[in-house]
Amino acid sequence: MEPLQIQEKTDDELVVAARQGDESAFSLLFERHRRTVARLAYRFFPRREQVEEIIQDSFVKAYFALGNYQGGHEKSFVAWLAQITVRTCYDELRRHQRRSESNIGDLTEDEAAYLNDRLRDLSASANVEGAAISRDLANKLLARLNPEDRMVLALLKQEELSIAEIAVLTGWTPAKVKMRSHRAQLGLKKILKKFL
Amino acid sequence: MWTRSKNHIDDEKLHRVGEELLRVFDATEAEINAAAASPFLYRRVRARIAAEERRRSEERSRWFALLATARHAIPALALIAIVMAALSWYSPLTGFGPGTAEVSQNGTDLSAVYPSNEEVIDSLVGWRESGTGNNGSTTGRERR
Repeated sequence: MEPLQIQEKTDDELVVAARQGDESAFSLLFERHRRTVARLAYRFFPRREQVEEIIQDSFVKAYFALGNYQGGHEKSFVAWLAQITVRTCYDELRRHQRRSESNIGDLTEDEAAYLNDRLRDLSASANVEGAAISRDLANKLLARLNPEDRMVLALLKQEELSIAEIAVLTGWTPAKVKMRSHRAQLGLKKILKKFL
Repeated sequence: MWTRSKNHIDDEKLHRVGEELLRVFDATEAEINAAAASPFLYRRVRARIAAEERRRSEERSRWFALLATARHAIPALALIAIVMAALSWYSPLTGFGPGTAEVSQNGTDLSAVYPSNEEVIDSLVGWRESGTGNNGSTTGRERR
C-alpha cells in the first residue's frame, strides 16, 4: 500500500487492514493515538516509565482485540482504545497496591511537614522542582485511595468526563460510578484532613 | 452555629485542596509528548506482540500434541472397554450372559443352578442317616 494512501485512511479502514495482517496500518494507528494513551496514563501514574509500560500494554491488548472492534462513527476507535487503556491502568493500580500494600503512603516526618506546607498553598508550586516534589507527594496521598476511587476521581476531576462517559469506559453502571465518586471524594477529604 | 460554619469552611477548604492535589498530579504537555515519543516504543510493542503470538501458538501446539497422544491411546482404551464389557457380560454372578438369560426365560432363577442352604443340609442329614457310605465304611461316632 502506498504511504500517502494509507495516511488518508480512517481509523476503521486501518483496523480492517491491520486485521488482514497489514503491519503498517497498525503502526499508523499507534502513531495517531499514542499521545491519547500517554495522556490518559499520566492521570494515574506519575513516572514516565510507568506511562510507557501502560502505552505498550494497551496497544498489545488492542492488537489482540482488533477482531472485537466494531467501529461505526468517527471517534469510536479512540473511545475503544481509551476503554482498553483505562482498564489497563486500573489493573496496574490494583497490582501496584497489592505489591506495596505495607509501605504505601508511608510518609517521612519531613515529607509530612513539607506536604502540610504545600497543601496550604498548593497553587504556589511555580518552579519545576517544586512541582515534581508536589506531584510525588500527591501520588503518595492518592495511593491511599483504593484503585476504584482513584480511577473515578481521575476520570471525573482530571479528565472531566461525565458519569455516563465514565460508565462506558469502566463498564460499570452509572449508579455505581455515582456512588464511587461520592465515596472517593469523601475518602480524599479524610486523607487530607490528616495533613491540614 | 459557629461550629457548623467552621465545619462548612473546613469542608470547602478540603474540597479546594483536593482539587488542587489532582491538578498538581496532572502531567505537562511536554511530559506527555516525551513519553509518547519515546524511542523504540513501537518496536517494543511489536516485540511484545510477537512474544504473545509465540506463546499462544505454543499453547495451541501443546493442545494439539495432547490431542495426538490421546488419539494414539484411543484403540487401547477401546480394547480395554470391550474386554471389560465382555467380562461383565459373561460373569455368572451379575445375572447377565447367555447361560443366565436362558434360565430366566425358563422361569427359574439362579437358586436352581446353585443348591440352596436347605438342600445342602438335607443331603448332609441323609448322608449321616445312611450310616455307612456306599463303600461300606462307618463314621467315627458309629464305631464308638
